[in-house]
Amino acid sequence: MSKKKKLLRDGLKLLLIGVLAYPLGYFVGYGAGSIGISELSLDFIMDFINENLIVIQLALIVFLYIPGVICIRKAKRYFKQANQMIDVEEDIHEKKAGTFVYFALVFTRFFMILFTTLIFLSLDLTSGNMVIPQIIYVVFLLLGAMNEIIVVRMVQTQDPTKKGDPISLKFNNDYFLSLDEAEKSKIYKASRHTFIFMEFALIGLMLVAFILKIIFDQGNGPIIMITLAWSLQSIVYFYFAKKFDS
Amino acid sequence: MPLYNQLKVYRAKLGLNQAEMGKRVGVSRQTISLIERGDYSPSVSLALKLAKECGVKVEDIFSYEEDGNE
Repeated sequence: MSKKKKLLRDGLKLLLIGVLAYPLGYFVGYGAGSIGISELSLDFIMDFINENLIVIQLALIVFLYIPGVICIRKAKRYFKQANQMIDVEEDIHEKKAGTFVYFALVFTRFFMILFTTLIFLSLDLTSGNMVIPQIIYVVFLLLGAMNEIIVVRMVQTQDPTKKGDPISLKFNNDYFLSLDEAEKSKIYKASRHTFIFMEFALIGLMLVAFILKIIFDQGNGPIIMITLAWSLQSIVYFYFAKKFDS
Repeated sequence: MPLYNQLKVYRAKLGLNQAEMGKRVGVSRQTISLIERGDYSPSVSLALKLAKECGVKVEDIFSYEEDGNE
């Protein structure tokens, strides 16, 4: 196929996507407004959070923080058993320990994200009711951070070739540099998939922000924040693409 | 195309376990395990290091076809 024909075909494809996407956007936005759901509000969510803040915090501790701690303990136990194995080819305990390390990090990461989001959503510095939730937040955020440090130290004890001080800002770089090529390859693959996923996710989030503006009257704030995140990701990507090109 | 290898055979001949082999070539025991299972294709430099440790050529350890099919 000639270059001109290829370009024409790509242009038609894009036009078709645009023609199909536009009515969808129109329906979701102006269409939804005109059929009377423009007065829907998200205030009930905020009211629920403000009225049950401590209960929600406790739920996050029970369902995310504590499982994280349990996973760390189990990982520690399996690492201990792996070290007692005479046959080092047998890595069943090490694999189990690795799985628990993974889930400990997943639970702890989501605990910290949701715990922080919750406190920022409900933060009202003028309210005296916020003292106890703030204390709970600070204490458990530190404990969550400690969990991540404990996991890193545990992995480093098991494999002393893994470098980096988890409290240092250079930790991610130092740790990455101490990995061997197969371990680095895993991180490259995970990063590539994350980047590709985020390219689509940001478009989806922009649509959600648009819906929030049109239907729930949430203003332009979410759109601006997503634009910033999208631009930042693109700038960082193009910067490193150019850097590693030379 | 899958990459077959005889690393386990040559490692056994040397009487090394995965951890010891990993230490000699500068990778983790898990990476040696991944290579032996065919789940990871090593870089040229790692393949050369492994061949050197085993005292053979790279193509003696790694091939595109299983032994006997060649």
